[in-house]
Order: sequence, then C-alpha cells, then structure tokens
Amino acid sequence: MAYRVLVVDDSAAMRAFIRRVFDLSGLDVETVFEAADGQEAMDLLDREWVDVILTDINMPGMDGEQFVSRLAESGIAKTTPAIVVSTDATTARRERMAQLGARGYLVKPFAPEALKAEIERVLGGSND
Amino acid sequence: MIEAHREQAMMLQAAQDILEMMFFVSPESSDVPEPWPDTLLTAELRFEGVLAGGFRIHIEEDCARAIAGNFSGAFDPAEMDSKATVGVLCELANMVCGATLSRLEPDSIFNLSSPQPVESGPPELCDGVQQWLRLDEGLIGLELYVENSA
Repeated sequence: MAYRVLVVDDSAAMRAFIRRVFDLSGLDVETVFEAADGQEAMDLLDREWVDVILTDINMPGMDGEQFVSRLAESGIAKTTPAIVVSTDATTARRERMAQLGARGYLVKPFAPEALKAEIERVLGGSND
Repeated sequence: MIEAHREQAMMLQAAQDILEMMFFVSPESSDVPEPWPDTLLTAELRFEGVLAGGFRIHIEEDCARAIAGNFSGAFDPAEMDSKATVGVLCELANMVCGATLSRLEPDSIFNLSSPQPVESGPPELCDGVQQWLRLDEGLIGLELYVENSA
C-alpha cells in the first residue's frame, strides 16, 4: 500500500529531511503533503485525504498541541492517526500528547527504520 | 544556578547523538576557541519551562555548509545556498536544545521558540555553559544559558 503523508513542521529543512528519510526507509509513499503549522495543515486536510500525519510540537501559529487537539475535536483523528516528531523525549510530553489524541511519538534524532516502524505501527493499529 | 559540568556533558551527548544519526558526522569535544572565530554563523532560540533561558549554536561557515549538505542529501556542499544552510543550522539548534533540556529535566515540559539567525559574537555568560565540538570541516559551539528557574 502506498501512503499519503502530511508533514507539519515550521522548519523547511526538517520537512525536506523527512521526505529524504521516506526514500531511505523503503516506505512506500505515494504523496507527501507539507504544512508549516497546524492551521495550514487543517486547511489542507479540508481538501486532501491522507493516511497519516507527522507533526512537530513547537511551531508559530497553531502549535502541535493545538493541532492534535483540533484533529481530535474534528473527528479526523478517528481515521487519520497523528505521530508527534519531536526532540522532547520526556515522559510528561509523551503522555500529554497521547492524552490530546496523538497515536504515535518519535523522538529526534531517529533512524529511517524507526520512522518507518512507527508509521506502520500506527497504521496497523488503525486497521484493527 | 545550573551545574556546568552536568549541563556540558548532556549538551555534548545530545549534540553527538544528533550529528551522528541525522548529519552523518562524528564530532569530538573541543576547547573553547581563542580568539573567537570570525567566520561563524549563529542561531538562537528561547525556552520556557521549569528553566527559562536561551540556547545559541555557532558553526564555522564551511562546516555549516558541509553538515547542511549531509542533512539535505546534497552531494556537493556548494549546492547549499545561504538560506538553506541557515535553515538547517536553525533546525540543528532546535534539536540540540530540545534534546539537552529533555536530559536535564526529564520530568518537565519546555516550550521552545523558533530558532532565528543572529549576529555572532562571544557569549556574555551569566549563568550558562559552553561546549565546543570539532569536525574535519570546522568548529561547532553550543551555548546554554538560564535566566531563571522555577
């Protein structure tokens, strides 16, 4: 199955890196959409359907916490899992993002295999 | 007041992990350069939580282009223009700061501002630490300073 992925990060460099990691990981990705903050991502999700969302936390405008909350409130989170990609490795942050509705969490730095494994884990779970 | 040796060790470990896994380089610890290098690019961000303060990263220009090329998959560092190089520098600042704070305060949540390029210059340390790293391509300096703690 080829995935449609949305990457939400205010850093263009990080968005480009994640695109590169998709290639390195061997994950079958059909389309990568990009957004620089949560609001831009919500606008894009009005027009496009994606399989999975990768989101940063600290972003100007609508940040990652607000974005994940909006995904839950709108019902999008029921069908489209969000994975947080962050340098914040604390248990407190992981628990907070899970409470808000995030289904996965990946700590930077990460290997390509780890990104692939986390995407497959949450998508496998969504099909249960 | 932060404990300089502990902060330095955690900042060094965080930076080495990130640079090895995502930038494909293996830096060694280095002494603070004297005199201050005149070809540094610098990015800065602020953080708030149980500790509040700032983080700066300094990288010699050639080194910045080289690691930006590695991060972006450019075969030739010369392909990296200034904007792209600064973008990678800012992302590196974000990652090293976030990873260091997670190690310093593993039970706390921090909010980080977006890193911005700033004019480079020697630190005016009040309550902070520096850690320098050396790569074949040049030096990287890390600077963490705390202005208050809860």
